[in-house]
Amino acid sequence: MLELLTSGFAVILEPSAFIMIIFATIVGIIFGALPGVGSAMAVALMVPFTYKMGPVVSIAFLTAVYCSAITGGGITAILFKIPGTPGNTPTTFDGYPMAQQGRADKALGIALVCSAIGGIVSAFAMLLISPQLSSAALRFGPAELFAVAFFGLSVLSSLDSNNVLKTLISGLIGLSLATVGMDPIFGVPRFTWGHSALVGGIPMIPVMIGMFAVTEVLKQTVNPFKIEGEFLNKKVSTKLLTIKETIAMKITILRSAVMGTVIGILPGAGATIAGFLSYAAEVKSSKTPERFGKGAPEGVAATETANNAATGGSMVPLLSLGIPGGNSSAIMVSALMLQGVQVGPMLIKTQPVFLSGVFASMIVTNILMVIVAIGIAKVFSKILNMPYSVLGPVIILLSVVGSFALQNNTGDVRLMMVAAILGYAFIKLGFSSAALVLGLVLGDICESNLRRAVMIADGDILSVLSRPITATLLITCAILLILPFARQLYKSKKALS
Amino acid sequence: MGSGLWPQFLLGILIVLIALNIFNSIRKYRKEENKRDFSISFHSLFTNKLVIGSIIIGVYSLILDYFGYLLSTILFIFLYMTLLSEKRLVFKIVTSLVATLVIYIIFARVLQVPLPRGIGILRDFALLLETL
Repeated sequence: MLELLTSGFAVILEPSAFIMIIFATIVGIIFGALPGVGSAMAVALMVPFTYKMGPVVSIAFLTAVYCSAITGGGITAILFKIPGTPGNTPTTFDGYPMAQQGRADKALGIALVCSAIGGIVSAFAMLLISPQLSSAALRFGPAELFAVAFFGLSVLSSLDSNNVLKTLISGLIGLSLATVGMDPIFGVPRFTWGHSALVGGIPMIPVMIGMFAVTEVLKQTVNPFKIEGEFLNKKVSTKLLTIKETIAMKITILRSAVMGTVIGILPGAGATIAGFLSYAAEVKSSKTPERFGKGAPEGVAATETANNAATGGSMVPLLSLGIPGGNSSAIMVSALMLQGVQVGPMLIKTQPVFLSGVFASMIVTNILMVIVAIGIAKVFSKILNMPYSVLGPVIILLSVVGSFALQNNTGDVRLMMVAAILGYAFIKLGFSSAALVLGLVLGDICESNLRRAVMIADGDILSVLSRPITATLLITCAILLILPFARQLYKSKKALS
Repeated sequence: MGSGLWPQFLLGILIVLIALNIFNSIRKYRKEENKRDFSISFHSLFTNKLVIGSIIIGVYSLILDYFGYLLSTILFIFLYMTLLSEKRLVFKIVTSLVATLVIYIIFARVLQVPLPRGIGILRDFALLLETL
């Protein structure tokens, strides 16, 4: 165990890697804090920087961006009532009233310290749980792995329960797009329409950059929003929590950290749901629930602990099963695949440095980000004063160059463009680009395992699907997929009567 | 299990779900009191910022191979800033030059990604810049 840990820190603390982690923390916090730049966009835009790194440093770097983006989002939530990332929404409930009462410094301090604690607790949880999960999964054959990947798809239903049908359609489009190119077993080209460029399949990175970054710029091009508030031209200082105050909130912090980690591990439920649920739990269990929404420090603590804890949790299925639980981890998986890393249960068995590297990166990032965020909060009004007419084009430029750098061809740039416009249409029409991306990432894993399993079973599909673990997972998956439909039906029946 | 079965399975479900979705949409549309207007005016195509923005990015991705990274990026940033209603001319020129150069240094020099050079005299210029 100790050897495992030192190997991880050895990778991260190597000067060139360490500089990249610092860079990731700064960029992550700024991107997370800028409204309209979510954590998924931050991770997508940073992927091109990993092309030349080693695979372990790549994932450690992207993890650092992800963690600090969630933290950065809290700054805007407190000062401007705009959640920097969706996971920070409940922070606005109590953080903004605190800021208006002149306690912005305290609110920021709580947010930062709690974020760091949540992140570190979940990093330890990840370190302990991932090997267990992956050794359980190692006993799986392809039939079970297919079921696990398919289970990852049931995420689709939980991503947006308001419009299950459209979310499912989006996911299926993603799965279908993943079948373009050579088939994974026989190498037969499919849906290539005779183009050699399509034989390798649709590259995932440009699609993600387009949908998560450029779509957002198009959105703001059509509907620009203005940031207003008393803190726009003010210097803001941060008052960190003292140890005594932290201990006073120990139950809040501990509960939120555990909740956040568990929710993060569940597929589909990420920082956003973790933040909301843990805020709700805090209000429910409080002896004085009436204080919430009016500037209760516990509200900020609960949300910020939980949404950061969810980042560690979401790394568990990614590292131990190779299955992403949300947008940001889907991008990380494809960044690893790009480097030729075989993601899946074998990964941390054969190369435990991936686990320890991510762990080390999370510990270092969560400590670094407190220091960096205090500095950034000071000059934050300056950053926000940067006009969108500069930020928007620069985001597109980064996306274009990042897509180009993938294989040094402009075909990927055009693909990125198409994905961006499709992403915009998806938002407008209520479809889910997150589901499409998840389908695209999981498609190959699903298909190749299913077909391998069927081959082993001499072509008997039914015997493959009825294996105990496979069947249980598939049935759970079916329930998860059908449940929202049933709920909708129930609701509309109720509304009628 | 052959190569065709999985895509057939996926597309099969997809067809069913899309049919369901169309059915849903029609039902919803019938219920609506004020029927929505789906016609698109010819004029709005040229004033719609989404359309113009998409065209600018599209043209940018198409001319990259010919104009090279430097020239097409400067043009792109200038135009997109104009679209985002930036009025200050000098600011636009300076920003497009600086942003283009900064990204060039980061990617072409630090990360050593060979960016598109363009053709003709632009290629010669890009090559000259790379020797600096």
